[in-house]
Amino acid sequence: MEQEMIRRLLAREEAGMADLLLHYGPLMRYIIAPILPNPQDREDCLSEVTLRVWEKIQQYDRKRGSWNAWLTAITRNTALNHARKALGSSAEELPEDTPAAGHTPEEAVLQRERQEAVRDALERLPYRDRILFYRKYYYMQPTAQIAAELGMTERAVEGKLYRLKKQLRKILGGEGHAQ
Amino acid sequence: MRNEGWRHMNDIDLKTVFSESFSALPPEEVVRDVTPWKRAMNRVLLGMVLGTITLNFWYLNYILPAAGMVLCLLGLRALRRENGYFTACFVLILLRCACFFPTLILNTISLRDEFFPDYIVDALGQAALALQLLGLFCLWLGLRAVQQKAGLPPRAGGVLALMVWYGVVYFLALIQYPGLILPLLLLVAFIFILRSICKTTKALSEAGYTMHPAPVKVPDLWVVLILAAVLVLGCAAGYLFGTQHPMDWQPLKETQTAETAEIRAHLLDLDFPEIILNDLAEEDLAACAGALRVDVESNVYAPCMDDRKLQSSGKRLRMTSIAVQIPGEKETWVIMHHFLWEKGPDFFGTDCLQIWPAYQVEARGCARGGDFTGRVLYDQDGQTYAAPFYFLGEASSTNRGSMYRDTTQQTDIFAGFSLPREGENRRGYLTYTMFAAEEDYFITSYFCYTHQHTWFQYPATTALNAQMASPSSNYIGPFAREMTQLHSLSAEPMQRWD
Repeated sequence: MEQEMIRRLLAREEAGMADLLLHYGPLMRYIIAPILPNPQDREDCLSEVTLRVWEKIQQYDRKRGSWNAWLTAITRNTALNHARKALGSSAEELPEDTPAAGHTPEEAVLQRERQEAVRDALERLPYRDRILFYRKYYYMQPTAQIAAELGMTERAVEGKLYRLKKQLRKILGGEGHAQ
Repeated sequence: MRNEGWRHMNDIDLKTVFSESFSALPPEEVVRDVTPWKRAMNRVLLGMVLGTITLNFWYLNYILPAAGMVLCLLGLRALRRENGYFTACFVLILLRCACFFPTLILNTISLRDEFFPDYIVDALGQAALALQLLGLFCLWLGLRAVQQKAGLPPRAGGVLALMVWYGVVYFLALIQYPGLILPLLLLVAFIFILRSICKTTKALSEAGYTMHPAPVKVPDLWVVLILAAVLVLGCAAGYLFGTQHPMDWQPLKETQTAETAEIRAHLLDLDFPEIILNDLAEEDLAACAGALRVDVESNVYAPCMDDRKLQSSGKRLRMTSIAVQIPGEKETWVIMHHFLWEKGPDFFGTDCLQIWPAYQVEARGCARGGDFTGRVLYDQDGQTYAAPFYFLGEASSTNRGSMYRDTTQQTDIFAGFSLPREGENRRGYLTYTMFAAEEDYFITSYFCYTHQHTWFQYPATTALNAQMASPSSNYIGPFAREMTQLHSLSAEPMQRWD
């Protein structure tokens, strides 16, 4: 089903878009919802995401990651850009599925360093903590949602996130990332 | 980035930096596991499967359904607000838990049959099955509702198939289907149903994102820990307080009269063991008035759970059988079977005496006399205490032959009791009267003592029930049986004392 949908999108068949909305609409809405609180913004964002998928489908490379991962990245980054626009932020827009490059070569280097440092630090975390981190800082999910989906109380999630941040500060602050 | 920068960043900056510091695509495991439904739904489906599997070893027939029920409870707790069907599922699993977990605790109480008759247990079992079938039906409807909400075609046939499968299994159990073909077919069907349930999980991978798990006030881990603690404490209480028959111990009062003193003296003249004579109740002593002859056979045993450990058993159980011939129109005998723990026992649970009376063993030559009598006794601080048996009477038991083919019913005399933890010289006896119908006869009366050697047994039962269920077995779970016999020929008085 997934392959057939991608083939249709690559072939610029409109049925591919219908399949995308039918089968992946719930996933896209799930990712957009915590980032955009306004229902109208969410619908606008969903339209934008489908449009971007239609436009960027050629860039989808199976070797870099699964379809779900690519779609997740596009949806998340589009929603974040949408949220920034809604707030009137002057920050640079995130590209759909790649990290933003800095304005200057120095900024680009700094950002790459930061990404590497975060990736290394995350790899040192236990799996469940890593998932929690992604839920909070990648999916931007509110504590209440994380708590409900993980069968924990909000207080427990907050406590765990606090300890997680402390641990990451420790790792990133030199213990595991000596420069 | 400089290391110190991370340390001094405030929370807002840190959040911004984190959110912008991810590489191109999120890791596969993150994409796979960040879902609102997977955790809850996988628990429900796995719980259903665990509840279906019955493995009768290592107590897995209890552990797996218990784990399955906890998983279903946690899963459905999260999904309970998604739609009305899931709410119904949650209520039903709560009811099932309310039936199931108390049963697990009750299974540690040996005496539960006393206050939970079989028909209540059967009714509870049937109610639990009905709840399970209804729960599966509601789950099927709930899954369809989720898929329809997402605009996807409903696919949850595996759950419905499992419901039908349960119905068929229950029906076969109800009619006690004896064959092998249908169970084998059901096993194959179960494998296909498992495959179908896995497909249901995949089908949900699209629609499941529309689900909204309910917030929890008590974390899942706490629910599990509380349930485990209640189970452990309940089972501990069951093993502590539910392993003994309630016995009516009373201090023994000296009530010797001139008549009983005379009988005692006469019996002693006939070599009746004095130590046993002192234990006899007044009416049992009176039954021996004018005794003509006394035959005695006494042996010491070292009861243990396993016959290979005989050497290491420090327990000494003396089992004595006495036949007292008394005057009457027919030749009449009072048969007494007496036991005395000379050393031990180590554990005080339930015990049982089983007598294969002479009139059953040799029905041609003997006939039953009056009622059975007896009691148990012990000494503490120079005072003797006595109590009637908790159960004393005849009972039919099923005797299974080899390979469960030759099943016979036999009616023996049983006495169920518990010994006190305190005191010493724990002992007791059981008597019955018989008539010798023919001249050429001999008396053979078997005396079995079943003792519970350890507290652990699950589900728990009493020595009496265990022995009644398997009257020919010497080792039944924590129970072990010692057996002796009185074998007396009519012409030869006998005095054997080891």
